[in-house]
Amino acid sequence: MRALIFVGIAACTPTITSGAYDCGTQELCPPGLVCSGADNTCVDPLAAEPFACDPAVLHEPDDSSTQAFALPTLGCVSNTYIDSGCLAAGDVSNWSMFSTPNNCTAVAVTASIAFPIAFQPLGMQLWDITANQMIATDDECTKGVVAAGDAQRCLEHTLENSKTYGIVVVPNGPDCGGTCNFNRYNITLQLTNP
Amino acid sequence: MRLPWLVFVPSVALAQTPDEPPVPPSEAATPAPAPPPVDREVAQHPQGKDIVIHTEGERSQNNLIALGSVAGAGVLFGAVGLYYNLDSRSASGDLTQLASAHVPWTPQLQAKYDQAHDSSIKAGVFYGIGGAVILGAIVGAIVTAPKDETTVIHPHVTATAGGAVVGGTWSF
Repeated sequence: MRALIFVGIAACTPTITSGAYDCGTQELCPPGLVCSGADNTCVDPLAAEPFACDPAVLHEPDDSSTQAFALPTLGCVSNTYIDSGCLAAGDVSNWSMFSTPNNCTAVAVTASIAFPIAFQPLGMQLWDITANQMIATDDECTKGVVAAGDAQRCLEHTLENSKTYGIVVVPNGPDCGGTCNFNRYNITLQLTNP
Repeated sequence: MRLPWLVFVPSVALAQTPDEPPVPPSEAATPAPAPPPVDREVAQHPQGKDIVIHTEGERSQNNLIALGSVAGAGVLFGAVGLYYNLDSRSASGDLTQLASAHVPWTPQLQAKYDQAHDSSIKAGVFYGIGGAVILGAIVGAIVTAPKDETTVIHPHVTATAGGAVVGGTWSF
């Protein structure tokens, strides 16, 4: 009878293997597993690795408009610029800047940022660097597909010719009480004809 | 326990038993040869074949109702345990299936995990109670089992002057 009971219980207890699930929001994981910072999957505590930014995707220092990382020259209707980035713990902003051509009949910017939901959510701001003024912020995306375990934010705004703009990635949400105040991301940017 | 009984049988009845035909007068006059020596005890107490009466014990209706009720309660507990077992298995199956899809862990999945875990514990508890109750019913059935009765009759015949005594002894 004991054996029968054991079999019954054993057959019904959820068995979740290490690495089977991605971390949920705020590093949420199944009982007994923790969120690994290396790949934001739920793993055995012994296998967990702390979060670390890949040095290859960093453009530090890039915490202000004067330190902004310059994107390549973009046409009036440009190819999509894709880049990876990372906000390390305590990093409050990553600045990038681009300029609009002087001969566009009309020009707008379309940008998006995708990041794991496991760590601190991120947002985007569009700045007019010349005027040193924030002119737009991110919003819900109306199109595009995002991977499971990732979130995405989008930004669209009409621009003027011959001006320099800044795209700033900033933390924008809860940070697990300070234990997940970092994140990695992929950013896309394209100039279009609105 | 042994109980004796005795019946006196007159010699006439013994002499006219069908197994022993009447002796002709010519042979009766002839002196018979001396009989061979016989065992005195056998001659005095010829033993018949034992008669064995076996009576199986029967349970009372109350006993049957009580045992059936206890066993039924055990089965009921087991059924409740089975319900929770299936519930837990269903939730566990969902989680296992989703794990292969590599999706993020959500509060909904956590709730399903908790449901599976809780149901698993409940299933174990109810299986345990049900098993114990059924075991109790089995033990009760063994303890309250009515005993079978066996009565053995040992018939014997003792020759006496002018007849015989047919007797018997019961043991049960």
